[in-house]
Amino acid sequence: MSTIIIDNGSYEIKIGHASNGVESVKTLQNSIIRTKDKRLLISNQLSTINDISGVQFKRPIERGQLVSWEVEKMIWDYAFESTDVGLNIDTFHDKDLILSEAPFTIPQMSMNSDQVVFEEYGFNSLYKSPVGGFVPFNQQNNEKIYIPSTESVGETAVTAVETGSYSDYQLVIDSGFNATWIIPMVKGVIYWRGVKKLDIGGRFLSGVLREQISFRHYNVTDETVLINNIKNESCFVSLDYNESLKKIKAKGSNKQDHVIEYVLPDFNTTTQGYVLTPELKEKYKPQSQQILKLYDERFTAPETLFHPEIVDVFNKAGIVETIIDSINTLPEIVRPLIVANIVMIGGNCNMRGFEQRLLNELKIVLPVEWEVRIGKPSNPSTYGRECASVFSQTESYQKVKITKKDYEEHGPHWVHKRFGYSL
Amino acid sequence: MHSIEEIYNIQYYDRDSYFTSSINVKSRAKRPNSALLDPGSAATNATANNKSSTSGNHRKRLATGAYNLSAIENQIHGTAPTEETAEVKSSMKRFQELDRENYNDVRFDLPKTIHFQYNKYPPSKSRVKPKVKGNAYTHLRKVLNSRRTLANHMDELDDGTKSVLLSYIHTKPSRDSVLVVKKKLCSICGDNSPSSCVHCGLRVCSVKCSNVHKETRCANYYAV
Repeated sequence: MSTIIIDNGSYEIKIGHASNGVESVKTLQNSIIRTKDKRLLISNQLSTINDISGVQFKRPIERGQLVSWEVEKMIWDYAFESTDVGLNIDTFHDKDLILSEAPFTIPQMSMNSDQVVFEEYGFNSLYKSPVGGFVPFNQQNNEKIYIPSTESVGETAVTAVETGSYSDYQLVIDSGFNATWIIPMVKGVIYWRGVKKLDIGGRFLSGVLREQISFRHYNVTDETVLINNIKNESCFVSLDYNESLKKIKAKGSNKQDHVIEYVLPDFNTTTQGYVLTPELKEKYKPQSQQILKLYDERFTAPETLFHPEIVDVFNKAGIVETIIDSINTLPEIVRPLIVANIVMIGGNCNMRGFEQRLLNELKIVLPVEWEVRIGKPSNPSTYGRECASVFSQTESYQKVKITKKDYEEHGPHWVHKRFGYSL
Repeated sequence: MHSIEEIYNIQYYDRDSYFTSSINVKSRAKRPNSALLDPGSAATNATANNKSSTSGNHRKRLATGAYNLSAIENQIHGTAPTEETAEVKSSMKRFQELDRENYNDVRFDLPKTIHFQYNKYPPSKSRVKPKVKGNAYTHLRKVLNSRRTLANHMDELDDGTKSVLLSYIHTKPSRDSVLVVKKKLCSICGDNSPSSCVHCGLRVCSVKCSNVHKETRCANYYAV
């Protein structure tokens, strides 16, 4: 009996066998794509097209809710069968499934997923949880990535972690494409009262970047993929916003690390565009390519996570306020413990400097005697799946999973009670 | 949208002008006090307006629930949309504008049958297709072929779930935030800005940016 793990993100699906290593995880786009010439493509076929302008996406997951199983099934079939992905999963009755789901999924949709998993595919068993829920079980790895690291703190250093154990108190920040979730976990179980959502995710940041570039430089309102590429390559979180603004204004060498030149696709030498580094500049003589010079856009777009009011969105709190709000729902005695175990996952955390900035900001607002530690793995987007594969080795997993037999006996409502949220 | 006249003095009471459909809330908002100061003239006004819209003398009364009572109440008691809710509204609009993948939110429909071309592994013989019968089968087909949008699903939710999804899990910014100092940035160049546009309230930092702003983004510049 082997276990399959599907981290069903709204932007990317991370899929793989639990027993295989981290390297074997496959990522594929969770979307159907329509190109400018109205061809329909599925998922990873996006990489085969040359003209990335005017590409439109249809995503099965809208605002974190898995709305369209029609589309999702096509993508899952592609993931299981296609040679592009290379998984070759064709029998399901002998497989266990661990599936991730956004917190607070609408009950009806959650039950729909159960039904498709058991009745259409016929998996042997299912365990469903928000992806953040797996993180405490990867305690061994978490301890390695915390900053400030456990060694430097000295006295409070934890003794070696046993395998198979989980951290009792854990705060997971899952910043993905759709939204940013703050998930406190106590004793390996999600503390639902404290789960908070910040409606700002990768899509919003791209929107901000798109507007700023369109207003200041070229009109890129239709270039979804290009904007995404620019964001991935060039955005970072500034450690001190005012300092960074000053650097942009200053003349001389200071400016260099904040201004970047991005070569736009000319469909001759490049179809995706790339960042023009000084080495590349020396190598190639500048040709007739269009170059986009990025200044404060690079750190203003990510700054909206901390200060949504800078783009005139006044009804949302920033990430720091959301975290504090979430912490305040917990019993007082737990708060310092949970603050010492923060892990950041999700594709947004790929941005450089995010964890350091958040650490600085939290230190300001939290009491001085509390020790704050934040861990950001080197692979934030697939780290959740990695934790799930650690979780699949534990005994707890065997206890909580629901088999097809259980499902047939008790029905979807009972399954939903087991996996759903309870306030 | 329909509106109701309030009766202040019984002698002005006119059966025909009690319910009126011609004065909408929006147009009333411009002269909010006229009705309160002089109910008689407002009532006659209403009848005059009505005569142009309805031909006969006998107008039908509106069925209960055909008008937005809370909006009317707000208007009468002077609790019409305050600045704060207007701010929330514009924020929501702004958020939706930024939070979408394509700027022009064009959605394409999938054709009824669709087959994607990609290389597949040969199907194995040991695959067991689960057998589903009866009601479960029809429901499964329904789920797999459904083309309902998120908005459809949201409409069906009960109030408890709705309030959790829409308000409980979100954090509202504190009005006078002690935790985090709000940033004020120029909407044109992104620098820190001490002042805002007198016409529309967007922040601008200098005369140069102000001029650019007036030419491009200022919504109220020509209106004033």
